[in-house]
This record gives sequence, structure tokens and C-alpha cells, in this order.
Amino acid sequence: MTTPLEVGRLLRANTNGFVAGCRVSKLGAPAFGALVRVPLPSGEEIYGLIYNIQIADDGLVRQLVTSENVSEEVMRDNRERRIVPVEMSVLSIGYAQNGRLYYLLPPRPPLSLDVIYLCDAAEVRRFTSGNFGYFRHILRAANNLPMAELLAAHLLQAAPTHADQQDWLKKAIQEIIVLLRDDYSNLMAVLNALREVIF
Amino acid sequence: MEEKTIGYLVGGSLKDAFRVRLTIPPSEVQEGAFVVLETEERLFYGLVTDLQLDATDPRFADEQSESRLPPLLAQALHGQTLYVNLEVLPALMLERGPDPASPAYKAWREAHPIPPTPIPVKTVPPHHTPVRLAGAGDIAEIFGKAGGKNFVIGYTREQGHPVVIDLEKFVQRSAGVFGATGTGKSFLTRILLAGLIQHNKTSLLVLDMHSEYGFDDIASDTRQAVIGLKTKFSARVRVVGLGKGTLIRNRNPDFHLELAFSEITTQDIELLSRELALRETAPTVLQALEKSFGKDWLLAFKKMNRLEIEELDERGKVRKMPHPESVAAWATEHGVNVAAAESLHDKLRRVFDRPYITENPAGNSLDHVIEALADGRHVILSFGKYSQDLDYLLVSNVLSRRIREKWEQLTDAYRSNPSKEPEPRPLVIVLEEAHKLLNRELASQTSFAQIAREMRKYYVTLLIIDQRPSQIYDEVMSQLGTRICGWLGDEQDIQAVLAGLAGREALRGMLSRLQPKEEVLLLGWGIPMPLPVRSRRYDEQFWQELKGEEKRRSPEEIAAELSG
Amino acid sequence: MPINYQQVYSQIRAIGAEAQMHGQALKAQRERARQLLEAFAEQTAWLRERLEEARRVYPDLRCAIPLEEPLNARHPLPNLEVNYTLLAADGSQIAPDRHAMVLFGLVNIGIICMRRGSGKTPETFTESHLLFDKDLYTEDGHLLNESLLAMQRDLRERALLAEMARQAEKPAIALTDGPLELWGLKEAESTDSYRRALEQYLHILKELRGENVIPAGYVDKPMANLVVRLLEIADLPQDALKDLKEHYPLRGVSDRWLFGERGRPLLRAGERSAVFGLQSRSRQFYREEIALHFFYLNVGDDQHPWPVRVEVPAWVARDRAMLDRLHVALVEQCRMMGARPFPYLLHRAHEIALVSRDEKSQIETMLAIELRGQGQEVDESSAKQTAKEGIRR
Repeated sequence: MTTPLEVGRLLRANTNGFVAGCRVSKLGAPAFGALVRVPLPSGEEIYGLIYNIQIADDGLVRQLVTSENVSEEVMRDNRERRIVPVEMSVLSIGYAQNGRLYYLLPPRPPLSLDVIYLCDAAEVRRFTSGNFGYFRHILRAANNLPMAELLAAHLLQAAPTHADQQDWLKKAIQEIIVLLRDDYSNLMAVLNALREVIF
Repeated sequence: MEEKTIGYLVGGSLKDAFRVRLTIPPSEVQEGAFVVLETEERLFYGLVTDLQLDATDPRFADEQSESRLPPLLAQALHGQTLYVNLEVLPALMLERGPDPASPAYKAWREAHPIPPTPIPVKTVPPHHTPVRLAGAGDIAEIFGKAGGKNFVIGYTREQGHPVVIDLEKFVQRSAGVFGATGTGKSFLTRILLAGLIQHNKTSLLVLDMHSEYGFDDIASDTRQAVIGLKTKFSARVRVVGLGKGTLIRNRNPDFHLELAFSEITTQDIELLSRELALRETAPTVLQALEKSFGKDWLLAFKKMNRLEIEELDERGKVRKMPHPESVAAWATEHGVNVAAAESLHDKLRRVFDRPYITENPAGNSLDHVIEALADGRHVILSFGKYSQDLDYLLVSNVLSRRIREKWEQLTDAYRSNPSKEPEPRPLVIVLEEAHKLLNRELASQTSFAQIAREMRKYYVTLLIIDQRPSQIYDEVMSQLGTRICGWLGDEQDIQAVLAGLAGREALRGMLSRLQPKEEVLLLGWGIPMPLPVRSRRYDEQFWQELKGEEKRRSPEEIAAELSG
Repeated sequence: MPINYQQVYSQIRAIGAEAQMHGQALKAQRERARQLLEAFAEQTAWLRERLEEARRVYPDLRCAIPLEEPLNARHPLPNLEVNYTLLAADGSQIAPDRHAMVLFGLVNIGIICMRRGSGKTPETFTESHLLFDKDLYTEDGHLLNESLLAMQRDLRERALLAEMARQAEKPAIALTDGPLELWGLKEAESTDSYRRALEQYLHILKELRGENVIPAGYVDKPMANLVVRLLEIADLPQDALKDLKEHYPLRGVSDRWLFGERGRPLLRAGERSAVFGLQSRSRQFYREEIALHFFYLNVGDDQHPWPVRVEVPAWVARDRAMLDRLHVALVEQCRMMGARPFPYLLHRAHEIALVSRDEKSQIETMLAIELRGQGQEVDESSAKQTAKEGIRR
């Protein structure tokens, strides 16, 4: 197994989700919609989907953007050396305890500076091989996150980890439709986003 | 044998219908499909009476999403949001008891020593009960297995499972075969008659107005040879020609039927009032005739002349007098209006002149007919050239009256002494163009209405064949046990056929959408549940199958039948 | 924090009224200053003589020393290839706080090094030095105060900066925030520690010579009016030199105004002034090659001029190429920051060096835990400290 890919450390959290911070230079790793996990010292592992990546600014950055041109060195300095972190908002969608997966909110949130790892293909497959119960959390948070985009991004990333991609996608879409069929506008938004995933 | 699930129950009521969510393409299910709802305790049998397009949200139906979404998404979306609901008319249910492999089964069997039979639906299956198309087994469970009294009348439309009717039940009450012209009524009738003859528990009297059932014929539309019943059942069928020397399809019938004048009653004439355009005074005259001459009234009346004689009176004046054997003389003598009597005499000339009405019928052919029927033969009375309504009405009525008398007598004898007297052989009188005899005007006067109403107690029933059921007297229609109905275009005819049945609304649509040539709807008391079927074809294969069944019968059976 | 606004407000009104009166006077003073600058612009030799006399009377005199250039000389932004190394250092400190649980001090130095023109990510470096136990006391037994600590910090900052500048690709500019001279309170100058520090610093400066390193101190919003003071001296009759200490006819006129009058600055956008020597009490220490010099530089534009003072040692002041290089680098650095000109790299050095309050309390906690772990007695925060923290929240 390859070494787990660390995407950042926890800034703040609640049971619904958490915010991880990382240097801008590490931003190559996490992507919108990516499945991440946070191992807790107690042995549990919290799973979540990145639904927002925020590049914070500060006085200096704001000053720099007003200048005529920003040199390559300054750009790099700001991205790689400065302490303004990239903030990743993660939606909790389940946890593992004693080797069993639950599509429930974790019993307690992760703690400050806990390390957040990107799930590798095997982990994504393991997490997404259940009954799609975790979609519930995404739908519940529909007002606070770009649900359609998040679902599409998740499907796009998770499908290739399954041996029968098409079959998994079909089932996932089926589930989404079942969950949203009484909500025309949201469902159509999701389907329109999924157009990008499925041809 | 296990049929695949086509949907699941989502709602409905006993009163209206069950609603079933279809899970297969709607093209695989038709209106009229026989379906089974299977729960652990019971099987519910029903009939698809409607297919409805629906959507969880009308916007899903409005939007042509297939043009906006890739096929996989569109299919998934439509699968979940657009659907077809079946309306299923619940008909019967059957207790299943526990799984035969389970220990509870034994106890259940002990509690139910006789296996339960299908009964009308009195409860509803739970939500989400799976629904499947009926298999051959289900159809056999409800309608019975082919063979013996169970005669294959057609096949289910979707999967072609054979559907039988119980011939014994069929003849217990009067029955009807309906359908607009050209829907194959006469072929279906042939099939039914062949089945009844083959089964051989019933005698048939076919009033064959157009002489088409006895000998081979040429189909009017296809110009194909049509095999007659006599051809196939030579020993059991008697073709009777009306009138001496009458040829039927250029062949000699087995014997000829002649009626004696004495066999025609004044009621028979009254029945012909319209046909003969009798005056209002006719009944009075007839009554007087009967009073003067008894049962020989018709011959006596026929023999009366219309002459006058000249006679000199006391004063030597020539006076015209009615001839002593004239109508006027008789009328005057019996205080009957002369003009009325003479008018009737004129009108009855058509009857007097019927060649088949004779003073001394050869060999008492009417008795022959009755005896043959009582003996278990089947009689096809071909009217040959006497195909006027007058002939049909008169002969049918006379014949049926005689039959009624005979069967009442047989039945009474059997009832009073069942151990010694034989049970009368059931008789079915087959009436073509039945509305001529059973219309509102005549029904009360002919024997047929009475037969339809009462004679089943005396082992006589009718098989009515007609294209205008609405013309038939309601009371007769409502007596019909089994109704086999082809396509009908006329709304009144449809209503007439469905009179007195449950689920009329649903059945009405089904009836109007039957395939005009191929399909019939089985209905009524004699049928466990309404079911549209693709009717059996009357062709060489039919005969092979039918005779094949006969071959399978034991020699004893055949011998018993022959001797019977 | 309750304030008697009624009182403050009356005072503010009074200040306003006075300012109006001052305004009239100031206008006249400014007029005069401008005239003097023009009049004496070319009289540099005479001025130097005059200054010599003044210094004899008053050795602590602090003002500009004209070199050969006219006083009002202007040098436009040179057109140079952007290809140099710029280093900036800054430091922060935590002075021992007797109210805290544990008595400790911290000197934190941040250095950043950017190779302009390379496209490479700048290198950053942080040195944190914890002061504990005997480190916290002067040789005569006093607890280190802010200014003593600041001196230590400055020295460390410059030592590190010099060390890194020497290793950097040349040409290199080593920038510090504030005057180039090592800052110390007057009363501290007599102490041994200050002398030792100063000696070290002077040594460092000297060593940089010949390394192709340009050390520079960047004084943002300078308050010292060195050139105006020179004009006041020039305006003084020779026999009145003894009254120099009381003679401030141009008080209120600043060097910043003189070189960067809003709307019509003497120094146009990106221009620098003539180089001046720095007459101050410390001139006795910074001699010859490391004698302190300065020039003004307008890092703003014509509408919003922003003259800053740039201090350099003598060897740089004499080297036109080095001056130009420094000139270009500073203007470029400031322009990166858009509307609020300040050298980008200095800002970054400050950012790196800064110790936040959270970090401070974290260090305190870590120390306390370690000490307790070792069985040492750890004091509690003073009641006053706890109360203060309560207010902050």
C-alpha cells in the first residue's frame, strides 16, 4: 500500500462536518467532491466529502492584488511560504468503528490538528460499496452546499474505483432519483450536473 | 411455470379496482390480462381493466427529458418518476394455506380436508403484493383443466394458455353467444356444439334457420369449406329437414319433419299476430274456433270455404246464404263477427298453405324428434327453403312447446320415483337469431321465455345466438348464465350483454376493444371470472384435437355412450 | 474602558482651534523652508563648514550632512534589469513578564530571501531563541526589559541577515526595517552589554563591505527632520550658533513635506534625493566606511507622494551602481504592495518573525508542563494577569 496522502489538518469541526486547513502548496491533492478520512485516536475513522475549498485572503494579499503586476517569486512566496491556509470544508457522511462502516454522523467530531487523509481507490470503493445511505447527508445539507455539483463530482470520482463502473453508477443514480423524485427542481439540477458524468 | 412479476400492488379497493404499479414495459401487458396477486395466505385473481400513464410529478411527464439527458439517466429517471398503473378488477381469491414444506401445513390440511376452491374476493391483499401474469396453472386452477367436461374455448391473449369452460355448468342455465355480424359467432357456436356433442352429456336441438350446422358448408366470407356437425358426428346427429322431400344442401336429411294441423294451437297463431298482420279481433275468433273444434280447429278452419249458396226463401226470392261449410256460416252460428272471422281466414291462408303442415304427417315426425332428443341424439332442424320468419316462429314454438311438455313429464316422473325412472337427459335448444323469438313483444308469448326462466329445473336450457342482444327481452338476458361475447359496436348491445354483472364499467371498455375476429370475452355465472380470450379456431386442427380426446377415452366409455 | 469623553472632546476642540492658528504660521514656515532649500542648494561646502562649527558647540546635533550634490538634487528611477537578491529580516520579542506563570523571554527572528528574476519560491528562515533563567538578567542583576531585549533582537537579526546575505547570490540587498544604526536608549549606551553589542554590529557591517552586499535600513514615515534641521542651521547667523538648541524656526515643517508635498512633490514618483551624511551622536561609532548616510525616496506617486528614508553605509553611499540597484529594488518592492507602498519583503519578514499572543501562551504552557514534569515548582499567573485575560475575552 502506498503511504496515505495527507491533505491537511483539522481547523475546526462539529458533528455535521469539519474544516481542514492546508498550505496552498498542498492544494494539488484534495479535490472538490473527494472522499477524505480522519482517523481518531480512539480508533474510529470519520469519512467526509470535500464540498468547499476556500482560499482565504488577508491584508497582504488584498494589497498585492491592487498592484500592477505580481512577480513570479511573490506569487510563489504567497502560495508556498505564507501561513494563510487553504480551508477545505468537509461534510461528514459516515464513520468506521471496529471495522464496521456506518452511514451515520460520527459520534464525536475530530479534534484540532487531527490529520485528514485523502481516501485511496480501495478506501473509496469500500466506503461506496454499501447502500448509498450516505447520500442522505448530502441531500440534507442541500441548502448549504452545491448539492448537484457535489453529487456529480462524487460519482465521477467514485465510479472508477468499482469493477463494474456502469453498474455502480446506474445504482447510484437510481438511488438519487428515488431520494429526490418528489423534488423536481433539485432532481433536475442533479441530473443536469450528472450529464457531465454520464454519456 | 412460475410467471415473472409484472408489478406490485399500490392501492385500490374492492369496490373500484386494485391499482398495480407496472414494473415491466406496458407493451407486455394488455387490457384484459389475467393476473395473480400472490400473498402468503392467498392468491388473488384479477383482470386488468385499464392501463394508466402517470408521473410522481407532472413536470417529469411534461418535460421531454430524453432529449436533454443521456439515455442512461433518462431511463433511470423515467423508471422512477414515470410509470404505468394497472387497474385490476379483483375477481376471485384462493386460500393457499401454509407452505407445503412447513410443519403448519399438515395441521392446515387437517382443518381443510377439502382443498379450498376459488371464492369471490372478500378482502384485499397487502400493499406491495407482487403481481404476475397468470400461468397455465393459475388458469387451470380457476377455469379447470382441459379434458372431460372442461372444454377449451380459447387461449389467453398474452401467453396463449388454454382457457376452458365447464360444459356441465354451461348447460345448467341458458347461455348466449353474442357478437356483431362477422365476428365469428357461428364458428364459435360450431365449436361449442362440437364440444357438447363430444362430451355427450346433453342433447342438442339446433333450430338451424339457415341450414348451416348440419352438413358441410362454404363459409360466406372466406369461401372455405366448413365442416358440418353431421359429417363428424354421423351417428349421434340427426339432421331433420322441414317439410316432406326437403333437401338440405342438396342432401337428404335423416328424416323430415311435418306437423299435423292438430299440433298447432291458437296461441301459436296469436304469436304470429304481427307476422300475419292479424286484426284485434283475431283472438276472439280463435277462441271461438278452439271452442267449436278443439285441437282440430286449424284443419276445420282451413276446410271452411267462403262460398255462398242461393236459396229461395218462402217468398220465392233468391237469397244468398253462406254455404253451410263456410266461415260465415260457422261464424253466424257461433255468434262471431263474420267479417272478423273471414279476415282471419284470409290471413291464415299462409299457414294453411305451409306444405309441412299436413293432415297426417308421415311417421309422426314430431314425436321422432322428441324421442331422438330424449334418447340422447342431437337434432339439427334445418328449415331449408322455409326460411321465412313465419316458419321459424311457428315451428320453433310448436317444437319447444312439445319439448317442454315432454321434459316436464320426464322430470316429474324422475322426481316422483328417482330410483326407477331415469334422470332426464339435459337438453339445450340452440336458437339462431334469437331476438326474433325473444323480443320484448313476443317473449311473453313464446315458450322460449318460459324455458329461459323456468325450464332449467326441467333440464332444458337455451343457447341463444344473436348479434343484437339489446333486442332480446331483458328478463331473458338476465337469466343467461354463461355469456360468450365477441366484439360489439353498439353501446346498447354492450349494456345488454353486461346486464346484471359486477364490474360492468370495466368490462364495457374491454368489450368494445376486442379484436373483431379473434377475441371473445367470457362472462357470467358459468364462468369463474370474466376473461377475454383468443377464441379457438374452427378448423382441421380443432377436429384433430377433439377427436384425439375421444380416442383417449376408454372403450367402456364409448360403449356406454353408444348404447345410451 | 471608560473614558471621560466630555473632557477629551473639549481638548480636541482646543487642539483644533490652535491648529487653525498654526496653519497660518505653518504656511509661512514652509514657504521659508522651500526658499532656504533653493537658496542653499549649491552651498554644500559652506554648509559643511557651518555644520562643523555647530557641532563643536553642540556635539549631539542631529541633522543631514550635505555631500557634493545639491541639496535639492533628484534622481529618477534608474532603468535596470531586475536581477538581484533581496533579503529582509525582522524580529519580534517576548519580554519576561513577572505576571506570567513562568518567567521567560523569546527572541524570534524571521528572514526571507528572494531571488528576483529567478521565478523561484523565496526561502524563509525563522530563528526562535528562548530566554530562561540566567539569560533573563543583565550582568548587574536586572531583569531584561523591552529595550534591552530589542537590542539583543536587533543584533541577532542583523547578524543572521548578514550571514545569509553573504551566502546569497550576488548582488544582494540586505534590508532591515528602521534605521541602520543599532538602536539603544541613551542611558543604555554606557552599559557594557550595549558596547559589546555595538562592537559586534559594527564588525558585522564592516565585514559586509567587499561582499557585494548592500545593507540598507528602511525608515517608513520618517519623523526625523534632518534636512529641515540643516536648513535651520544654515539660516542661523554664525554668532547665534550657541543658541542652536533653542532655535527651531521651522518646527512643524518636516522632511517628508519638503521632499513629498502632496500634489507637487519635490521628488516625483520613484525619485530619490541626494545622499546625505548623517550627523548624530553615534557618528563617533560609525566611522569611515560604515559612516551612516541616507537619502529620501518617493515610493508613492505624484498625487500621493510617500517619501521614505533609506539609510546606507558610506561605501554604498559612494557607489552609484549600488545606490541605483537599491533604488530600483525598493521602488519595485513597494510598488508590489499597491496603494500602501512598503517593501514586500520587509512585510514578509515581519510576518514571519511575529509571535502572536496565542503562540506566546502556547510556549508558556509548554514550558510549564515541562517544568512540572521535571518536578519543578511552577508559579501561578498573577491575579492581575488573570483579570487582564478576562477583560480581553
